[in-house]
Amino acid sequence: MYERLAEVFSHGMKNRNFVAGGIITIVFFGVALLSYVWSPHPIENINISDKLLSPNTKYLLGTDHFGRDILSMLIMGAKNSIIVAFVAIGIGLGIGVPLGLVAASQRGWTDELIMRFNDFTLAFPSLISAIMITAIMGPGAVNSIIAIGIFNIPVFARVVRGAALNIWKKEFILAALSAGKSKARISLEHVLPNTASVLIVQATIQFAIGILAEAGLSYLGLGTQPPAASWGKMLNEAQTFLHFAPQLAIYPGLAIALTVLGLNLFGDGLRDVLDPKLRRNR
Amino acid sequence: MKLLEIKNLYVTIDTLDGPLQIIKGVDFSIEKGERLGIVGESGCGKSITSLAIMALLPDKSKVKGQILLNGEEINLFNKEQMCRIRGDKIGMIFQEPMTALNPVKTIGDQIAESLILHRNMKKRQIIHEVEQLLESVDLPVERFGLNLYPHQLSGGQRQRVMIAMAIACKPDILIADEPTTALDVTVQQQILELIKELAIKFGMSLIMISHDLGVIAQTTQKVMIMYAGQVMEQGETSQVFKHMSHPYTQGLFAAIPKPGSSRLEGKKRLSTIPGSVPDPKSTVQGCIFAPRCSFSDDICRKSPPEQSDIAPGHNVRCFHPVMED
Repeated sequence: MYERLAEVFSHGMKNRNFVAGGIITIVFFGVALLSYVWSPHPIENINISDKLLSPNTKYLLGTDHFGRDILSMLIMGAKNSIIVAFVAIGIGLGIGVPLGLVAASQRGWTDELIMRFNDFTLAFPSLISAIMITAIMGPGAVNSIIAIGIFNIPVFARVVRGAALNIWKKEFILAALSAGKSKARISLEHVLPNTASVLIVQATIQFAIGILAEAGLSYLGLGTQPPAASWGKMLNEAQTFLHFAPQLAIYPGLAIALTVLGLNLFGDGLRDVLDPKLRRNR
Repeated sequence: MKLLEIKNLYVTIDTLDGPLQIIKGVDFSIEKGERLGIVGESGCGKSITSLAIMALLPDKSKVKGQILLNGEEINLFNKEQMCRIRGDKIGMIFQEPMTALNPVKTIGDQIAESLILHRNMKKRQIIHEVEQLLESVDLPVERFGLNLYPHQLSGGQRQRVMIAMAIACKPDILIADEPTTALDVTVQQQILELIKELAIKFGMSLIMISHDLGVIAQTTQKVMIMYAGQVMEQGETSQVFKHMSHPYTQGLFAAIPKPGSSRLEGKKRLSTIPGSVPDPKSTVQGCIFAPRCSFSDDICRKSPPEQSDIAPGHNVRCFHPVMED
């Protein structure tokens, strides 16, 4: 396993997308981890006398209309984005992957049932449906996680099923069957490990989509609630002051754009690195 | 009682164009420790026969007839019962060592699989057993650790791992489906010898499936020639090889290239069997081989021949068996 990681890493260093995306992703995660131990100012600190300051030595990126430190809010927002996207992906993986594996191993009507239900879910525009779900269940971080997570399920189910169908055709599956293994154990012990690379790549992409969705929901006031910080909420609050303090919108906007770009590049690069067929073409 | 007995086996596979009959009434049996060869062209049903025994045919296929293992009708077994037979009572070696091993699992884990499934052993016992198995397929543990991945081995070494997997539980029957087709000639010899030795050492019956008559001659005691889902000729290997009686068997033997028979030297061309294997969709009224047979006449085209004995234990499905010496 260690050898394989080293191999992936050495191939990855030759891939520009992988390196650029990787660096952005590492910085993003680093900042989020940092928030647990340190942030320049507590974000609950409302200091009206310091409101709407431009960047200075005390507040490196300035302050908002309540006098809160923008840099601190960005750092806390990174943590918030990661938690929401992580749990949402967990929901998608936890439910979607077993569904996809079952569909691929059983085929027949089980497959039809699962995949048609999948199509049904995918037919709804995910962000708008997430807005609907949070509007019904009430705004809040937990509900937005659930809403985003639900739409990760069919994505992972479909990706895993496709990859698993390919694996089921391999001769080593026949060998495992002839050793007396049941289909369920083969799915778990032989098929799943062989689909890991597609899953990792898909998870990276879904991570970016999850962050974007969380920002969207928070922007509309349906996601993370005050006093917790969220990039989407910062954008929302900034729009009132767009004419005389545009930096308030620019910082969180840049943070969202950079993070999503970085994760997408990383996912793209990772796919090229993990798939030997694509690697040769470059 | 016979160890394995196949009685009147029919296999039909549903396709979009309707059902295709792949196996049309195959009978054979195997005693404990006996080695049987199944020979035939591609698509004659050799592999389907072995998959039918293992109950690993595609979902859309139907099996008729009886498959008796130690007198038990295993074709009536449910999935769970069948899982207990596979790997424990019947082991199987596959053709393609490059794809028959899981690339993401170590060879030790893969060999241990059927032991974990069928034997109630402690972890340390299993490791010991896997090491023994590696030794028995001539992969010394000092050089080939249990932690190697398939991509670190050569084709021949992977085939040895496959054999170790198949014999892990010392099954009663070992089915080898063209085990050497994907290997080069020198390695083929070693693998064949190994399979034969192991079968004798552990008292396993062997079903060797191949299109290579040399492989069959080297490893088996009995042989069965198949064509288009039917058994054409069956008997002791030495007897059949000496007195081949079915025109199809003769054709197969004539198609073996012999040294020095190149055209440049003005000698005979390599003979082939004219025509090609019949489309399984078509139904033939008479003998299924008649359209390609140089001995066929009106009788052959009218009704299908039955299997008939021409010598003790040597039967042929032909109206005009070739009797020459």
